[in-house]
Amino acid sequence: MSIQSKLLVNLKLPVRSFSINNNILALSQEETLFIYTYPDLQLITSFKEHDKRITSIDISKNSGKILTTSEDRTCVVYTPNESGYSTSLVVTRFLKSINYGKWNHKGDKFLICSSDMAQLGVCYFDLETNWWISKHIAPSETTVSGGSLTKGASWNPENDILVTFGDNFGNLTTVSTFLKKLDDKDKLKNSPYGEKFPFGKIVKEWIPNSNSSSINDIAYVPADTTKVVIAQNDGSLTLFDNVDGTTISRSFDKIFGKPFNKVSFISQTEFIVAGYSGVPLLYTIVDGSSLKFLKQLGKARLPSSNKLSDNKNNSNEDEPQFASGIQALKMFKDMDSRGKQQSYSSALATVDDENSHVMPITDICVETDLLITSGLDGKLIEYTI
Amino acid sequence: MSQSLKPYLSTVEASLEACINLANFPSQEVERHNRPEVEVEVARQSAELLYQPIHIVRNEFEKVLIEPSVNSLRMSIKIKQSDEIEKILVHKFTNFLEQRSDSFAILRRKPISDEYSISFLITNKHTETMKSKELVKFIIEFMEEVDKEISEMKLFLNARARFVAEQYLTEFIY
Repeated sequence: MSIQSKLLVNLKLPVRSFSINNNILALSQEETLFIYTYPDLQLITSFKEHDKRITSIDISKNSGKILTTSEDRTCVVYTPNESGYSTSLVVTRFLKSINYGKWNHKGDKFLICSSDMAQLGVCYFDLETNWWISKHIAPSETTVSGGSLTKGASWNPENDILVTFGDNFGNLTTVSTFLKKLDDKDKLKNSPYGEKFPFGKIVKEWIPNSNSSSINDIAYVPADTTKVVIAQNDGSLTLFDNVDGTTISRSFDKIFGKPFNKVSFISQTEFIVAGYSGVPLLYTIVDGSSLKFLKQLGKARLPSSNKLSDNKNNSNEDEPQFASGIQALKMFKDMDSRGKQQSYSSALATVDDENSHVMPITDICVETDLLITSGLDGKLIEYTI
Repeated sequence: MSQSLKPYLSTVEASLEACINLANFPSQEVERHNRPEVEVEVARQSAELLYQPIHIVRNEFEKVLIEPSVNSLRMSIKIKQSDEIEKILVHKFTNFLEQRSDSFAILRRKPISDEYSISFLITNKHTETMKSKELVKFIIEFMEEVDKEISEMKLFLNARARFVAEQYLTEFIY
């Protein structure tokens, strides 16, 4: 089995989030949103609607609307029209940064995570007022929660109404976002999560693994929506029964041992995780009861071979003790005792493979047979699964 | 590297590797702020954002404290100082570096307390522009070299003192 990866885009600044849908690729560079065609990568347009860093981007599959959330406390919805995109600002009523936003599958409402008040926001377009409305859902007062929602939240793929989200305390909360105007009651019939689902009802509340490690991302298992896969900051992946509140299986990445940022399902049972190791991994759920590591996508990062200390040519002959010294220390010494300015030699820099991430992966997207990842190194890389 | 130093440094390296997974985290206390959570004043800190601190102690003269948090990591080192001369040398040396901490990026302007000689502060801004592996390597190399440097300076100082004393005292030979 050949592992292939290809560099798609290489930008200078970190790509914190991107999204691909309907042959459109949207990615952000700090405050600016760039919209490209995919897979040709022709720049269509760019927007600078936010005055602080964009934290997440999502394109709705149905309507093609683009949602951006930002540290400036606002969200913007970009609606495609004949001449490009029209923008509308969503006043979220949150006072802190919006960390994450996600459309539901139908594309008529979206959830937002903010660290403000530990509340989840649900936004929808109100035709009567011609305005985006944001409603808040607060978790119950009994849980220990100082208001620390992380980026992880997921729509239940079965009914598009239940939302599960995690926070920095390690709480996993499932709430109902049922809106009379938009949602269909029949979808929730025979739901394993209960009987009645008024807006804002807390359906389930757990602390998985009872370890209070913050939850980075959550994904519902498409084959069985009573189960979720959770990526926690201690580096673990947990297959969790969201109805009973029990851990079914727990697994760690044995190669890198670094935490994961993103979990995304590619089929009924197979999913991809990616995070601080910079290498996406493919896992599968066996018989709905255990997590199994399948393979690593892309090449492993090689440990950097040429150490700073290997470079002896650069140092002065008369001071041999500096040959193995720290470069920075040497630089200061040179500047101090000899008034010499020495620039860092680029020959010392380790050469990285162009087609792999050198920094943590921030976001992943699956497009037919391809997986696309973005990293803090400003790269977008495409893998064949 | 001496054999006894190696396990100490590899423990520090492994602990740093485990703590350096920093994420961008806009402040949840103050709007439109983005600050290293580990540096926030104690009264305003959020407990869930600070992770378990790690103490690594080699002996009474040498220890390391790593304080990780969601978006920053503070590491304090106590450099070996077994006598008065070494104490002065370490003080001068760390002072020299700290005054130039702007060019050093990850160096903190002051150690966190008198217990430690020097502190580093790594934030997510650093791990976004520099490879975290290289950052860890840099700190380990610093720790490896700094002892050597101090003892070298001590020897040099002693040699100079001896020379000066000899020169001075030759005056009295008759």
